[in-house]
Amino acid sequence: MLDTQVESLLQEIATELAFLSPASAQGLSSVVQALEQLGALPGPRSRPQARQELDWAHSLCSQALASGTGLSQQQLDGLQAAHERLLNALYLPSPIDPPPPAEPAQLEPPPPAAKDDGDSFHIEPDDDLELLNEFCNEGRDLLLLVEQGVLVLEDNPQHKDTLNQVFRAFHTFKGGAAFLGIEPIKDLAHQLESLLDTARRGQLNITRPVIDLILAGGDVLQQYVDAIARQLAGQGMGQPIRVPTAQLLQRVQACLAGQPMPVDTAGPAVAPQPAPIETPAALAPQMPAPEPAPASPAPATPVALVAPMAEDGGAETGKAPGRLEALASFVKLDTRKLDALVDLVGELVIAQSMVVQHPQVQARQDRDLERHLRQLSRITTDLQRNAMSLRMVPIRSAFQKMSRLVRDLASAQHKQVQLHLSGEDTELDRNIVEELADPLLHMMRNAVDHGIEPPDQRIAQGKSAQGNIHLHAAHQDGGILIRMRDDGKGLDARKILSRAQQRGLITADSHPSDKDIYNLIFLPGFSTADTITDISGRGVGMDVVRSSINRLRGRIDIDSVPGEGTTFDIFLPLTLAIIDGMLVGVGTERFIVPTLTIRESLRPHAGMVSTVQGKGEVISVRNKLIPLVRLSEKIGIPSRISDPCEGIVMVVDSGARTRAFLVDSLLGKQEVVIKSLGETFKHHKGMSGAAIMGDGRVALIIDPDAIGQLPTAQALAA
Amino acid sequence: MNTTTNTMTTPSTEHLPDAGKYLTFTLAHERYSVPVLKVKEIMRLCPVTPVPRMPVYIKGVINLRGKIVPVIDLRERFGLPQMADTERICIIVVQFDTADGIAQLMGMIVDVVEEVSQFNTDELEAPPDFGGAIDTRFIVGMAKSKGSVKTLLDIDRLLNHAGQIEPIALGLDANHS
Repeated sequence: MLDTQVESLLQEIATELAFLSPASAQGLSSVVQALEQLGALPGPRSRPQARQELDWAHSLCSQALASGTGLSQQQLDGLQAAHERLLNALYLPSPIDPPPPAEPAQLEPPPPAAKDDGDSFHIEPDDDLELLNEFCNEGRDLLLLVEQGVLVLEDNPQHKDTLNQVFRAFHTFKGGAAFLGIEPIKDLAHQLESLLDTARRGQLNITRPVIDLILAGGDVLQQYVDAIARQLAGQGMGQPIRVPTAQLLQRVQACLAGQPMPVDTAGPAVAPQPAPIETPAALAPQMPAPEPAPASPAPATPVALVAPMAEDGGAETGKAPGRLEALASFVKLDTRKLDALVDLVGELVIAQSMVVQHPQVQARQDRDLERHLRQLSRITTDLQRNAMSLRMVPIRSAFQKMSRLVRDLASAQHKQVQLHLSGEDTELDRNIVEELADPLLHMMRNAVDHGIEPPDQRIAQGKSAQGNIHLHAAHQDGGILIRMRDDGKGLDARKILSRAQQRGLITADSHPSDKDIYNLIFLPGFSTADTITDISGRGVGMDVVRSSINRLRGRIDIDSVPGEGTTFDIFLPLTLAIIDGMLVGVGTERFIVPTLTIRESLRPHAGMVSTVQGKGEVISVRNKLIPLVRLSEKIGIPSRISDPCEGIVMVVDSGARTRAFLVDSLLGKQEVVIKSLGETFKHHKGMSGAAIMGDGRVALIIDPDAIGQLPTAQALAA
Repeated sequence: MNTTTNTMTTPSTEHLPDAGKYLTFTLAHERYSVPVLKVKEIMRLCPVTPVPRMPVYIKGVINLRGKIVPVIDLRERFGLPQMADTERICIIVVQFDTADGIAQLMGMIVDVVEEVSQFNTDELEAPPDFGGAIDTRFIVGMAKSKGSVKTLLDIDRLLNHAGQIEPIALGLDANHS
């Protein structure tokens, strides 16, 4: 029952206690140490009674140790008694009291309908955590398969291969849960498996209510898996995991018995991503609950979507078997090993370049040597490219989450929306894909909530009753372009402008262009929704989206035609690890400016630069006035030049604004591997990272948006 | 902290340093020691890339075999008098835990690295109470060994604190752009 570590520590303490003699400090330090180690383990930590005893014993012993006088006989007896109580407390099967409120919030069971339904289970510290982890990973994959399969079945309820696939997924899920002894999951999975089995034997029609049921079941299983994963990650280990399943099980039973199913009244119980309270995930999009299907058969209008597997009617064997074949040639990799490999390759590139650029090596004019060095260079570059590509994955996974969301949202709002996906094979860095999911979800929600009109409105405008959202990805300009386009009602410039003025985000007398007005929606605290719909319309949305995109070193553009629709364009670099940078000199230092942000560079001539109010400077480029920012002043180091005409000006798109940065000199263009500056500089604004140059020295990478917003610093004497 | 005035008989009970091996170094004629287990590397002073708009004791960052490591000038940090750099000046790279439990590396610039030695319990003492004259947050104790007194530094407190400090804007000017 107990963790072996806990056991051995308890043994140690018992032994030491036996040898302690009064008035001597010998042995006390080992006791203190053992008590500390014990106190750090999850088992003892989650049992308040045990903690109490541990704390008391620890303070008694450390005091005695520090004073050097040891314990009195009375104290020694007290210690033995405490040890007994500690043992009892630790051998209890479950924590006695609820955890103190000071601990971070763990899984909040969704508000139970009326009764405390659903079994609970918990993870013991001595369970096989690795197996549990594998179960979670596999579980996630299986549930994804279920979701995709179900969406195919919606269009094509008889599709045999998909029915089999979903059945097998639940079956495997059940097996894993049974093996690990997690009863509630096993039971639920078993019920869902029976449902699918009945269907594939032709004894149950996959109607709309059944689809909802299966999706709801999958969501509940997802909740379990997420809860386990959270505990494995160290949050609240040992807490009982409880997810209400009774109502769901009832519905499944009713369905299997051929009775009309009770309507799902459990409210928002089936959100697949319960947000832990303490993180800003509260701001992240949550899946709203699918609304209960009306008892009368729903209209046959498909809330369809392009599922990657569904072709047309069942004639084709679905892509499922084909996909399985392709999957067979993949290999599962520990991501840490992958990252380690990529890091090492990065170091190899640097080391190689340090050798090649070494003056001694450069001095030798040997043809053979040159040839070998070139070969070395070639191989290293290839190696790096390969390593980088290891981290690339198709954007498909981020796109596929959209299908489910659109379906749920449209159904909840009684709208008809068709999602068109293209370019899912476009590859980009795994980390970027992960980070993109939330912003995309949010934008998609906005598109359905605020963009697409209800069918009757659309028809009244002469549009098709069904709204369309196109989501497209493609490589472009050395980066990646993601475009989301809807044919809804577009943005209302007047409303946006008035709301912005109301919020004081823009002065009353400015005359922004339509484009500028659309960009106002990216400002924090902005929202034109009259009522706050579930998550969007709360005014936290688009600025979070833009800052997420900026963090990925990308940018987002928006365009709209009232009555016709809105288009969002997101530009991202291919990978977070490498950046194409312009090396610039400011004073005695070198810095890197990401080329993706640079629109153009020029040496200004006299007359282009003028001052405003004696303090600000502007430069006229192609008849547009752009504020001039002296980088030396922002950074706080003296520049070698004072007259802009002796330096170089780079016109940079930083965030929503354009600025002209003045630097001393342009030193070259280079691809560099970005390294994080680390925790120490967590609060630092202005630099987005560091790069190691060919000579081994570090160059800081400038974040144009952040540095442009810094107040000017007076230049220091060097 | 302490309410007693006699540091020899009843030192603070919570902050007694552990016996063990320590690395001793010199800063402006004073000796300091850190637990040797926290020391990852010792190297000669190499070019440091300054990071602008940071407190003056943050010297910048260096490249340690592909890893970016921040470097702190301990003399500045403690407000010790400046001295000319000598040949023996070194960077000691230590590992500490941030408040979130993340392991971080940081380099400390010191004048001279002296030695690694064992300090026994009887050589160790709790930090003395200077009555507020000195910031003792980073001092975990004192060691008397081989005829000299060494100040034992609390690496986690010292360096973690450094990271949390908001960068100081140098001579702010009212012009925001």
